[in-house]
Amino acid sequence: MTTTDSEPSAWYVVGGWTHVRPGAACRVVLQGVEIALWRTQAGALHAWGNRCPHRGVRLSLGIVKGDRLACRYHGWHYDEGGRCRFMPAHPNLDPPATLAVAHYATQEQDEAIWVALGGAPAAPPLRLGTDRPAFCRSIHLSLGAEAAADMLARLTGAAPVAPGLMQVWPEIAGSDRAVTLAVQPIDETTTALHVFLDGGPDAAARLAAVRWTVDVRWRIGSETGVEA
Amino acid sequence: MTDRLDDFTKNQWVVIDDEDGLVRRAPFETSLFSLPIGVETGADGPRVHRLDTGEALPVLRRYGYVWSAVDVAPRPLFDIPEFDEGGRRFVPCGPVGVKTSALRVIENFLDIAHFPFVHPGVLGTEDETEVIPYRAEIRRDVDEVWAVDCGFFQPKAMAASSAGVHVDYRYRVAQPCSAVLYKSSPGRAGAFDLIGILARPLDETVSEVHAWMLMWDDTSSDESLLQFQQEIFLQDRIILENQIPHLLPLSAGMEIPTRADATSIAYRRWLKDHGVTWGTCDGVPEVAS
Repeated sequence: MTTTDSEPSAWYVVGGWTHVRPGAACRVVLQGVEIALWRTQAGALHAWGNRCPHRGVRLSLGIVKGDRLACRYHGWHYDEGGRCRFMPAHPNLDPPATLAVAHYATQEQDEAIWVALGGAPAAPPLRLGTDRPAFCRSIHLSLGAEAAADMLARLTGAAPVAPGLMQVWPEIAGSDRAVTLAVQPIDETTTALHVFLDGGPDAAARLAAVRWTVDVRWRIGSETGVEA
Repeated sequence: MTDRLDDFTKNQWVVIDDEDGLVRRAPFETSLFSLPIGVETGADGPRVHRLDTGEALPVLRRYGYVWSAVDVAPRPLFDIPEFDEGGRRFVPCGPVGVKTSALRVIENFLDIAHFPFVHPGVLGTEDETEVIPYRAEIRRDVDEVWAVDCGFFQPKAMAASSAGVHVDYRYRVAQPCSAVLYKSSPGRAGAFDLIGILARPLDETVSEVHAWMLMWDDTSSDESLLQFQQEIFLQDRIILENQIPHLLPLSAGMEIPTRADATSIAYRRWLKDHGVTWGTCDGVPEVAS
């Protein structure tokens, strides 16, 4: 499953902002497309096609050197625009401008990392709450996105509020608080769910929301018979 | 998947196991080009047969290994004269399972530029990353790929090395899934040690890899030689299993080589000239997880 040209580009949450720390790289999959997420040492976030154009090695294995990402295989350096700037096997050669990695639009908002596969959408990502939403936890489900949404609606009462987003008002630390569930379609049979709690910073409430999330995962696992 | 098997690949002897390893494992079931096979030892030596039809497959014992083939009359196995010279020590190492095409495994074996990054402190160092121009060629007379005049600085070129040295390399691809490397011996000035790699495709993207050493070294223990080789191979394996696609791309444009990749370029061209389809791809890279 991949996006087609005719489909308008849309933002998806692929993780909480702590998913990739400054100076780190990691791999995420959105709608069957592999993405290398990485941050410069200074913290700037990038979402690239997860393949070095040279010999195809996953760039999520790469090493961040300042504001560049170096491929693990032959140490080729890519700058923040995805352009190759250094090939260690030929230290005196200027890499051609065409030597570059595909990159995707990415945004950080409400403690979430957003990626769009088909070019930057005209509108910014939706808000995940009204009062300083906090990232709580991500879980993986062995279900397609639609089946996952149906299951969440049935088990938790969560209702869709926008494409890819659901909201539910469970009792969290003694009061009803808005919890937003961001659905990341990984592939046809796998979905990630990123959970955000609205209502401002509150460590106890955040911890309670994490417990609520783990409980949801356990209940879905019991229903589907799949140890998620 | 066996219908993707081209004639050139089908006509080759393929490694089953080293002699001792086979005796230890037999009887066992494995596969060869996606065909399930059974391996046993008999009074007359090792036997290999297809599990689906029961048909016996040819067996060859050479260079300390047992070989078989899916074709009843495979091309003669390549010649390694150094095996019959005497003096060097033979150490087989493996097998190691790798989830990628056997051709990707061979190509990685032919690669010099990755030493400083994948084998830092052993086969290379980030202080010396430049690949000095060398010569890669398809030798039509023997129908092999060769790379000569390769040189690289290596902090610990072999198990017996005590200090960093500039090492001279020569590479030879004798079959799609077998390659030999000749490198200057730390134990004997002017002489070459041999390191070989033999990959058996279990499937198009799953391989069993055997490495062997034939070297001038009377001092290292078998264990230290094995450990040296295994450490290097495990470092390579991480790269190999994270190379997308797992099938080796033969069409131009899918991957961008530089002059340092001359051996890989010649290897890919040689495979293409022979119409090799097994373990290769021709289209856009797979993007699925």
